[in-house]
Amino acid sequence: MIRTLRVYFLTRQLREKVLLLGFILFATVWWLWAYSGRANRFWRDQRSTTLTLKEQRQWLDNRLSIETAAQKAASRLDPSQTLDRLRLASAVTQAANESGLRNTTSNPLPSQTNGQFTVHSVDFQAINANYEALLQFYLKLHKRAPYIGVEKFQLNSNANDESKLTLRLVVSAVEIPR
Amino acid sequence: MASPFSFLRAGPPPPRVAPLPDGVFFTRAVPITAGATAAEAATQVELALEASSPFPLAQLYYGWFWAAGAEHAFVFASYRRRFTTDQAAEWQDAELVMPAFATVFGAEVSPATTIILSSAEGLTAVHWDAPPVPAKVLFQPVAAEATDEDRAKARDELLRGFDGSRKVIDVTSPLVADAAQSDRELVFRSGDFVSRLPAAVAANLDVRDKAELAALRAARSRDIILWRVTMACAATLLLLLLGEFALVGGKAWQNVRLRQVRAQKPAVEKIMASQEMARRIDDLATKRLLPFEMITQLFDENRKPAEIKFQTVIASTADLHSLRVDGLSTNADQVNVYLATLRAVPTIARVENVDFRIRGNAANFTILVTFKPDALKAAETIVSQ
Repeated sequence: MIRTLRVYFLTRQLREKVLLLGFILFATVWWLWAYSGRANRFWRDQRSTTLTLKEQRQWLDNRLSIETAAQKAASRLDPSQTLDRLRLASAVTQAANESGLRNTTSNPLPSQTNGQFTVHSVDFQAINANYEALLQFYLKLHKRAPYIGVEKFQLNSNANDESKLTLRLVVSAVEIPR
Repeated sequence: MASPFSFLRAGPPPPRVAPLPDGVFFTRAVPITAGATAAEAATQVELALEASSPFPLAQLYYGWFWAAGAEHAFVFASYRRRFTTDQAAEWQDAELVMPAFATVFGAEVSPATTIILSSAEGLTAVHWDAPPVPAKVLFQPVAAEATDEDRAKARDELLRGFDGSRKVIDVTSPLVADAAQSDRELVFRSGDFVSRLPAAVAANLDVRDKAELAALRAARSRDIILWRVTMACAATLLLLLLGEFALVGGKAWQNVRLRQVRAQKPAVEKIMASQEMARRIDDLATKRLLPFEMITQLFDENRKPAEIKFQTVIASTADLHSLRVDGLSTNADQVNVYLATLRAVPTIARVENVDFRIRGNAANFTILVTFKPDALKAAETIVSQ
C-alpha cells in the first residue's frame, strides 16, 4: 500500500506534492499542538491526584497513631474540669469581674471538634483598663491552666492616656466529655 | 522484532526502466587507476571514450559500469542519431535508460562466467573475467524466424569470442525491474536470476545527457525528501492517534482515582481534625503563652529608659517565646541603649530591630524579642512596675 502511495505521490506535479505535504504538515502541527496541551493538563492532573492519594494514604495509615496521640494529649486533662463553651465564657467573665475590669466584651469563636473532643475559644477584649487590673485578670486565668489557655495576646496603650490599656486575648479551652 | 512502523519505510516501487537494444552500442573495458574515486573514474572513462570514439561525447549516448576498487570500468556508447526523436521522447518518464545487457551487471557471478541474454533482436553475451565489472559484451543478431539450431549456433559463436567460460548462464527472458528494499539499490529479476545494482552505480548506467540527468536526479532527491517528510508526518499522526487513545484510557483511570480521592476525603479530614485537635490539646496542656512574664522582663530592674513608651505588645502560641513590641522614644539614642540592655538580659536569646524611624529627636520602633525556651516560668504573682 505504501508503495502505491509512494508512486502516487512521486508522480504528482511538484505543486501538488507541496500542497499535499503542506496539508499533512499543517494537520500534524495543529494536532501536535492541541495534543501537547491536553497531554500536559492530563499529566499535571494525574500527578496532582497521585500526590493527593499518597498524602491521603499517609493520613489513613497514621490514623491509629494520631487518634492515640489525641487520646494521650486529652488524658493529661481531667474531664470534670474541662469547660464547654458557656463555662469558658463564664469563667473568663468571672475572672474579669473579679479583677475589676469593667469595660469588657467577650465573643465566642467557632469551636473545633474531632467528634470526641472540642476546643472552644473566646475573643476577649478589655478597654481602658489599668495594667494592675489586667495583670490580675491574667493571673486568674493562669490559675485555670491547662484547662484555660491564652492563644493570642495583644496589649495596646491609649494614645491620650498611657495608663489606660486595651487588652485583646483569644482564650481557649478543651471540652472532654465525661 | 520488526518495528510496527516498518511499513512506512517500505522500499521504492520498481523503477521505470527503458531498456535499449544491445546491438546499437559499442562496448569497451577502460582501465582505471588504482585507488581512483568515483569522480576520477568518471573523468577517466570520459577521456577514454573521447579518445576512442569517432564522435564527440556530446553526440553520444553513453554510460559505464564501475565498482569502487575495480581495475577497469565497462563503457558503452551509441551515436545519438541512431535513436529517433520520438524514441528519445519516450524516455522522458523513465528513471533509467540503458542497454538491456546492463541489467545483469549486478549479478553475483564467479570468475570466467558468461551470461547469455535472449531478446527478439538476437543474443547478447556478457562475460566476466573477474567480478564485479564485466570484461566484454558481444551481440549476435538472430532473426526472429530463426530455428533453435540457428540460435544454438549463434550462442556457440558468441562463447568462442571469449577466452574461456567456466560457467555459462542462459537467461531466456529479459530481466525486469523489481521492488527493492530501499532507495539505495535497484533490483532486476528474471525468474530466479537476480541482479542487484547499487543506486549510485546504476546512475552511471543511464546513457542520457549527463546535465539533464543531474537535473533529474536533483528533482528526484527533492521528491524523495518531500515524500519522507510526508511519511514522517503520517507516522506522527499515527502516533498522535495512539496518544489520543492513551489519553482517553488515562482519563478513565484518572476518574477512578478522583472518585477514590473523593471517597477518602471525609475520613482523611476527620483524621486531620484529630491531628489538629491533638496539637491544640497538647499546646494547651504543655505550651503556655506567658505574655506578662515576658513584658516584665522588658521592665524589670529599671531596664526600660523613661523616654521609651510601649504602644503595642503582641504574642501568640504560633511563636511561643517571642514578643513583638511597637514603641515610641522621645530620645532616639535611648532605643539603642535599651536594645543593648535587653541583649544582656540572661533570659533573652535575641533582640531584633524590625523597624526604626526617626522623626526629629523622637523615634518609632518595632522590636522582636525572643526569649530562651524554658527561661521563663509562669508566675503566681507579678509585681507591676
